Amino acid sequence: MSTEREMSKPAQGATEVLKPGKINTPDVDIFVNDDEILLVADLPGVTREGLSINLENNTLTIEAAFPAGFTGTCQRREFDATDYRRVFTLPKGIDVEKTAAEFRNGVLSLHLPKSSAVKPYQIKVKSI
Amino acid sequence: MIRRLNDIDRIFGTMDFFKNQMNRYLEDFESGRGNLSQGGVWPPTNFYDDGDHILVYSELPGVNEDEINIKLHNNLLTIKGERRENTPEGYAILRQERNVAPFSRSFTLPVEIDPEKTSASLKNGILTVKLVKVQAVKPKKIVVQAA
Repeated sequence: MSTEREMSKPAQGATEVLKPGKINTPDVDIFVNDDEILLVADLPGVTREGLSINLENNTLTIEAAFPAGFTGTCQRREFDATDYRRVFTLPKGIDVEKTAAEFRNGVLSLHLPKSSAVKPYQIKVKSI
Repeated sequence: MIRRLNDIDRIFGTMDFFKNQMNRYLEDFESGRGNLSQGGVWPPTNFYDDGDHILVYSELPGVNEDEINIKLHNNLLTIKGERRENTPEGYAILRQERNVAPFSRSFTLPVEIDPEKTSASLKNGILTVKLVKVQAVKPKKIVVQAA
């Protein structure tokens, strides 16, 4: 499974090139076993309503809005209230229908089951 | 002579390249972003002052309440803990970017804090510590009177 950070492409023939806004790339862990690919992403601050996961063809896009929630004047800043976005290219053979996602404590767990065609199949040897 | 000028130009070009590289590393370092191996700090923490309180926000996704230890000693605030979440059983790791090391950060607070009134909450992976300033250091408004 390869990842790619989507680059903004200038529109064809347009004279004005829009610069992308500031976006946060969430840290992810990717695990795999015989049945599925498990993607775990850190999305601190995000609510379930503000999270959107899109699967189109073999492109997975995770987008999440960071709710503005700081009050007062800033004394020290190490993270910004910026939205999250990350794009992945999925391998072939993912059963899109059975994809399941959990979101807890700012961590998204996305289960991407492999379709039966790509699952390993063990051939039993019979003794004659 | 021309060749020599070209050489000088090349040297300056190289110096510019290194300067840009250094600036990029410094940017990463100052923002606190990036992996621990790159010198980043975890968890990234913000401080806000709203007059009566100091609000501390830490990004702690996947950490449970009982895994965080907050200490306030004099004016030293320490946030400590460990993310116990690990590799799920029976899976092979394809990519691991999320920090799993135990963390600890200490901050010297600029003003005196009332330790009794301090509270902390954890919501959606963000820890909020609310520190109440002691009465004496709260800002006071001075009203100008017409003489």
